[in-house]
Amino acid sequence: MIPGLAPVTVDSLAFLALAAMVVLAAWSGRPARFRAALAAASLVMAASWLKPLDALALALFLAPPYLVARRLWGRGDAAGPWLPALILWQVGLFIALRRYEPLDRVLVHPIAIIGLSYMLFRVLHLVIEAPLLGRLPLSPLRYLSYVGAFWTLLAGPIQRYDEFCAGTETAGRPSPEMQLAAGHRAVNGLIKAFLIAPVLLNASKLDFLTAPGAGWSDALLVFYGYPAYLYLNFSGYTDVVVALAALCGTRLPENFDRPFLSRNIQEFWGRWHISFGIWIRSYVFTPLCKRLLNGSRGRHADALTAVALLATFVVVGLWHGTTPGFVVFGLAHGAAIVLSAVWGGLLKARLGKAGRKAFLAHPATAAVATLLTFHFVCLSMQAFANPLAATWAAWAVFLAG
Amino acid sequence: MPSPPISRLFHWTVATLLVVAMIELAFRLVIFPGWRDLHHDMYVPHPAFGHYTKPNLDIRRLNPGNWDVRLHTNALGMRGRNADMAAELAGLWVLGDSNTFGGYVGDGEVFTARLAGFGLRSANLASEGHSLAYQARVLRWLAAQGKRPRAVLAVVTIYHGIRPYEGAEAELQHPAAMAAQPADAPHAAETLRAGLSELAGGLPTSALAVRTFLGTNSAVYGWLKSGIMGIPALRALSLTAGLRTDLDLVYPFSLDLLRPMTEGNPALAEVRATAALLAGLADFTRRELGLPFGVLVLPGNHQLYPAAFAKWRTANALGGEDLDPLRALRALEAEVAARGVPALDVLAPLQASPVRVIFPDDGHLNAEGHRIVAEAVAAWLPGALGLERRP
Repeated sequence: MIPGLAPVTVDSLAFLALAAMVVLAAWSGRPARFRAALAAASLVMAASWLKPLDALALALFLAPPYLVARRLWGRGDAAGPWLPALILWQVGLFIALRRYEPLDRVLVHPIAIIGLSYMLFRVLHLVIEAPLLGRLPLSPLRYLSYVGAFWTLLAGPIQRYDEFCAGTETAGRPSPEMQLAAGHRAVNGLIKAFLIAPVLLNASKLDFLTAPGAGWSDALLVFYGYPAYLYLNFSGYTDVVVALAALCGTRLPENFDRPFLSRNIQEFWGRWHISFGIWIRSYVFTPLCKRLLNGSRGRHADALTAVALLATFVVVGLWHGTTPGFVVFGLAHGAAIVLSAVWGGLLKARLGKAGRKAFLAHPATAAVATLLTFHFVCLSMQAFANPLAATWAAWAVFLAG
Repeated sequence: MPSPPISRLFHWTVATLLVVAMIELAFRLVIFPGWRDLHHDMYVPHPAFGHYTKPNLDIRRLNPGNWDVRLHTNALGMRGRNADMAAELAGLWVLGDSNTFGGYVGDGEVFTARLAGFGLRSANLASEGHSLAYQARVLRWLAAQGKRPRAVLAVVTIYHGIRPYEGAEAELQHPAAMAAQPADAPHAAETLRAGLSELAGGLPTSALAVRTFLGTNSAVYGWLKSGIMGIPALRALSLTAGLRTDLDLVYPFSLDLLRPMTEGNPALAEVRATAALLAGLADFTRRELGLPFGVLVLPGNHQLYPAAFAKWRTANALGGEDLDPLRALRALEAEVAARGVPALDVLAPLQASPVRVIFPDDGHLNAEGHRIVAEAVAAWLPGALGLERRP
């Protein structure tokens, strides 16, 4: 909290000032200057959001991972007991700070830390990989700049530490063509996220379903408007920060690749919030699956993979929000992937491997699959906009006429 | 190797952005922190009557050179404080627009608040941008909540208050319970259309739009503007240079309102529609609440100051036409009287004031104007509406 300064958002004047400062520092050709500017901008950005108690809680959240990472730095695979203990502490503290339902009735506190979920991903990545990252520098300033970098603080993307370090070394002035492309992308992102997306959000409020005289045009807008808003808002924000990093001669991971053209949910998660999907696969699904399969000595492999998948998607749901609706969202997506795999298996049994490939590649099949996936995603995203019960009640009122 | 020109251009663009942003931030944080008070988002959608003033406001409203006031609303969004709300709602209910809301004068300076000094507590139901039709909904909504005043006074500002009011009178015949229903519930498609239209018209393409944009977004502009407005010579210069609108030359209405109010004049139909709605409100108040109802007509700049009207006529080369700024006012009073509704005309006491009674840059009543109106209303209420003063 900085007196007189509103919390810095991507569409604010303060963000413009910070971004311009960091870009000019990058263009100075001195990496140390760029790192200092990035740290300063990140500090201002975080300080604008945090009240004193938030800052204290954040210090409690960020100090242990640094100390553990420091201890494990470059020690090969010998993580010892520190790693599981740290993960437990970190996840526990995260749950306490986020006040998940029904814990929110017991854990009553005013703490609200912006970007905490993304910080959790970054610190867990750092401590898990710490034994293998010995070749890279690690200092408190670099750590804080990585975890709370001003351009990824609010909503990612989730960058790997090695990529972050490489970026701070290669920062500089990109070619004029790249500058032009980055500027273009940043402006497009601002238009998507802060001009078009709010219009769709306003037009997709659940109340429209229950208003007197509500018709199907209202229902369609409520149904499709919110997913469109989410996409434009999130991908527009990502465009701005990725473009900003590109202007500095560094690279942030991409987060979107035309997700609504996905032909199944598995493909969707490879196109929507990509950096999150990669993190979840690397640090939740793969280790969990390995552990389950190793424990069963190869028996019931399909069933155990499905269990690991469903558990992973419960985590995906819980990461997105603190209410039961998000668990339903995660389970629905997990179940859709399992069903998709079962369907693939049935097709293979009936048509053979080559036949299945030809069937799925057929334009009509692809079109139907894309439409089905798109509508499933739109349906599941209703859980983001409102509590499930309210959503259900509003649609019931509308459909009852 | 020297940088290519495009690269240098980029460099200077980013540097300029940094400098401009830093200057603006310095003004916002240090030099002119009051810039936020230049504009406030004071309104909130209301399910029963479109929009209304936000509840529990406590803001400073600032327009340097014109006004600088503290403004409160109660838990219902009405001008005033929560501590007084119950007593005010049990007194006189005053319906009106921005002039009655008094967003440009302090809490205690609004004529509704000044009435308390005469033993007449009143609730100010007005909201900026509200027409009589919306205020009718506020009245019915409050009545449907079981609230009961001692009397109701509807305030009409000339010329804003004179409108066709299609359907508003019929709405008064609806059952009381309907007052709590969304009257104009927006639909998703309309909201989308409105949003897209706003988006399309969002880029400031005129000098006025650019000024408005800067006014709401730039502390530097606000500081410069307030600095100019605070210096009389520069303030006068801003007027001659066209940087500020001359209030005397503002008339965004039909000329028919100034022409003789004969049967062929379309403005007469609007005057009659307004009078009919007022009569409908009077009927509703008497029938549903069993209470007296009155009308207060507030004049504007051209009615109060003949010289201002003459200046506008000259500027628009309308000297040859038979135009009179009092015609609409007089016609409305006559139509209201013909329908048996008591009306108060405050033109004479306002014109008698030795000092200006409206703000220099807009037509709203200033503190002196509100004081005079309060005195006139307090003197008129006991006789016209039988409202006894209660100490």
